Amino acid sequence: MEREIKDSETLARALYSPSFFDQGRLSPIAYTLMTLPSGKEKGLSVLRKDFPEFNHDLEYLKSLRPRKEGDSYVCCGFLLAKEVRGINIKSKKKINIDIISSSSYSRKMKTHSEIIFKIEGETVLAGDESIEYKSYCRKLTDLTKYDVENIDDNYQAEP
Amino acid sequence: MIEDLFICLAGLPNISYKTSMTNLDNNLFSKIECSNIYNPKVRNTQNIPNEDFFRNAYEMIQQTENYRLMDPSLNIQQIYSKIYNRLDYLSTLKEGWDGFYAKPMQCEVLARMKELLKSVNIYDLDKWVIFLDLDGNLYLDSKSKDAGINIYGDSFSYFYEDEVLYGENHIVFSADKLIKIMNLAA
Repeated sequence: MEREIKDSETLARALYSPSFFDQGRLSPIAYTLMTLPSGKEKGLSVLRKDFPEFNHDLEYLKSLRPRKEGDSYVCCGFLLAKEVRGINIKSKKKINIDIISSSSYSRKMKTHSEIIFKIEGETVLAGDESIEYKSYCRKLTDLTKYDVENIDDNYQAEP
Repeated sequence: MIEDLFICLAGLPNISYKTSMTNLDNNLFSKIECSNIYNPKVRNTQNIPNEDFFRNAYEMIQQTENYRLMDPSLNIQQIYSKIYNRLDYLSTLKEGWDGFYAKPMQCEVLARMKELLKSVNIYDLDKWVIFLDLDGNLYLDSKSKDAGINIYGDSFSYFYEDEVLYGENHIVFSADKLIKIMNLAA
């Protein structure tokens, strides 16, 4: 698998909680970086959909999630790499959006990749409160709004 | 000449063919010349709309868009009920509701939201979708603009995109201040 992620590739973000939805609208919080016990995330986890390993990786990813009441895999939001790179943040600050393959980091998921958001060359970490980062999360949500328009918080996952 | 007249009349809304035929007088001609700004064949430069016209038209379109986003079948009580149910649902989410480490709604955040509900025009609040964030704060997401508001226990933050990106973090909470921002950003 090529490490370089082409503009034409589709990236999939697994969305788990029905609580991220309301009447077909998806919360930008679903695209924010999380603070994990191991530290703050610096890249948004996505899978490369255009490879045969995608389904395996998605199943593996789902199996990693702790099953909690009300929580379940809902669907994927799909992002075109070119559109992610082309997100326009109306800021005077220098913004970079990189998409990197992290398959060597996540050996069990060959299609695993990360979207890295940088402001003035600095990688944004979980918990960042800059308006640029908030706008970026919202624009990611907008890119996937048609994937989720029929889903709401009453979604019932398959047992 | 007559053909030109009909072309002009066609550009005027709400003037029927019959009306146009029975009112072919100088008065009507003057009306056409003064008001017909839609027809490209009318080349009177006095009819070119000014900046105010476009601004007003833009604002009207924006208002229409805002109303379109509301559910016209809902009356004010139903909107209150919808918002109440949403908050009630979000307040029941337990720790880990995102499948990882998300926190439940903080009591102080709910108290701030109740303060807001006492003062806000419910139709203005209905322009926003209410979500919970991973730290148990509320996040309002604009239905029409690239804009969002975080409501914390004692403060709020906002951002919205216009010609540039605007925003501010951790403003000391006041329902009035928040309402102003909501109206500005929605």
